[in-house]
Amino acid sequence: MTILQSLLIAFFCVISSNEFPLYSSQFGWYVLGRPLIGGFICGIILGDISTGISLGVAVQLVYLALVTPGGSIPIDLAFVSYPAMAIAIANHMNSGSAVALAATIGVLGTFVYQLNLTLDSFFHKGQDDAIDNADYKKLNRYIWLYPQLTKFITRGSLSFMAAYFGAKYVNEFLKILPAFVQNGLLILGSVLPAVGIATLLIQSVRKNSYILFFLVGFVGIVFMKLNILGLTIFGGVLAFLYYMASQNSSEEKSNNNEDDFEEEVL
Amino acid sequence: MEEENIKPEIKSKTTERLTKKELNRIWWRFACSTPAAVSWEKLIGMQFPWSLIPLFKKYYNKAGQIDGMKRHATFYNTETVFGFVIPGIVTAMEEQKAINHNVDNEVIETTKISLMGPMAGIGDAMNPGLIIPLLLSIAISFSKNNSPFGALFYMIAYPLVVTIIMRFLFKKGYELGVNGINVLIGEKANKIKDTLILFGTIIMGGVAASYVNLPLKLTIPSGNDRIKVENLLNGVFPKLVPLLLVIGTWYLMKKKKISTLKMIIIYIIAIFALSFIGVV
Repeated sequence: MTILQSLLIAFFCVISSNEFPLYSSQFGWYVLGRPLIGGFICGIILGDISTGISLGVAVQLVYLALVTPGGSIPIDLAFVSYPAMAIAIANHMNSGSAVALAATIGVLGTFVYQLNLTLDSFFHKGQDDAIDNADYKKLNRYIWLYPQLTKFITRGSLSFMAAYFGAKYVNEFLKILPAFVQNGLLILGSVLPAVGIATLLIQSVRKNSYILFFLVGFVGIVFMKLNILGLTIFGGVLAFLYYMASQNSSEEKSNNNEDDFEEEVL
Repeated sequence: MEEENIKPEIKSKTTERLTKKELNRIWWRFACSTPAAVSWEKLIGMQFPWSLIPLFKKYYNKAGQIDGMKRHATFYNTETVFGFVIPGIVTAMEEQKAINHNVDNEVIETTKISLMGPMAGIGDAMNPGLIIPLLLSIAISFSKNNSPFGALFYMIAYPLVVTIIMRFLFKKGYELGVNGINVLIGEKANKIKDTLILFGTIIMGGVAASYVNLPLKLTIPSGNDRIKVENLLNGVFPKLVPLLLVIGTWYLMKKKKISTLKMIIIYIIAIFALSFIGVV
């Protein structure tokens, strides 16, 4: 990877991070930060779009359902989608190694996220001062300029180094790995989505018996051979029926509020 | 009530309502600034004072602008897309406060605090739980033969979908105004929330069936031959292993309160161990 390519990769790693305000992360973290899109963009930068897409799909499958409750992120997808993806494409890795590399770099990347949220606390003093004096120019600087500059410095430099040096040495390293490790890396790619889905279920399944609805979706795909779009319609109808039923039951016992206790996830 | 609390130096400039253009400006400010100054201390809280500046400038003199921004420079966190109803409600409340002076500061603060949790719950189930996996699944099917079409599809479809939701919810929240909190945490709203979450859970089942896989190499002796356990299982219940895997992981994470990161590490160790002894 050339210096220019590594710089571009680092730039995208910054603007696609969870802490960067690109359309409130709705175009950053949730679009550019998805491994599928990262694979595409790294593919363009490195001049190998088809490898980029194929590895992007493989890694994306692992992180299809990544939730970030309360600002805590289990894995930094910006690091997954840019330096890790670029290294994988440059070295023509197989999908299993790409997934394993992505997981390793992604987990390390969460420390950068935590660092940036810590550093941003130092700007609150300046923001408060600006508000006290209704100094809007200063407020803009402290909300927009300095925090973003910090992110470019921390995240930018680290992702640049990861892309620039990582590409050279990672391949050599992977060659010396024993066969069972390589096999394990390959399998991890198809098993790890289970963790993402389980994380989501912890939030959505409040009563244990509600896991049955998860089963309905599962069986719909496996035995009824629906595709995901068909399942969406089928699930939508089921959910609607549930809503109608719960409306009726609440009319019957209108004073019964015992179901109102719920776990709120911040 | 509120009249007594108003500091004497705060002066109102006008009593006309916010124009469409001004509401639009506030919407854009909220839509762009979420993690601009994100920190552990306030998380995305600083988006409020900054986004509401046009409103404060329209209605108040300098002292009032300072007072307004100070009131909002607090901790706040929710899911951006479905939480967008809260900026709508707060904008309406601030407008009403500025014109009629009949909204207490505490009411505004309570609204933000009591809605951000429930909206994060709905938002997480609906956005990263449903919209994103769904659009990505479609995008992946478009990109099966390494074509960039799927990636392009997602880059256009996702921002479009969330923009529509964000605009709609902001408008709804603004219309609800002070009543918003009753509507959003009432019994009916809880039912809708339950329904949406249940819908998300069904889709998660489909996502699990489509994308979780654990190929087994394990064989068992049968007469003179050895047969693959996987083939045996597939005859009875295809995808049984992934199903047990997801439900087991969910149960374990919930019961033992294992974090996502720890779970990933457990998986990595377990898979390497199984690969070493030749089970997978």
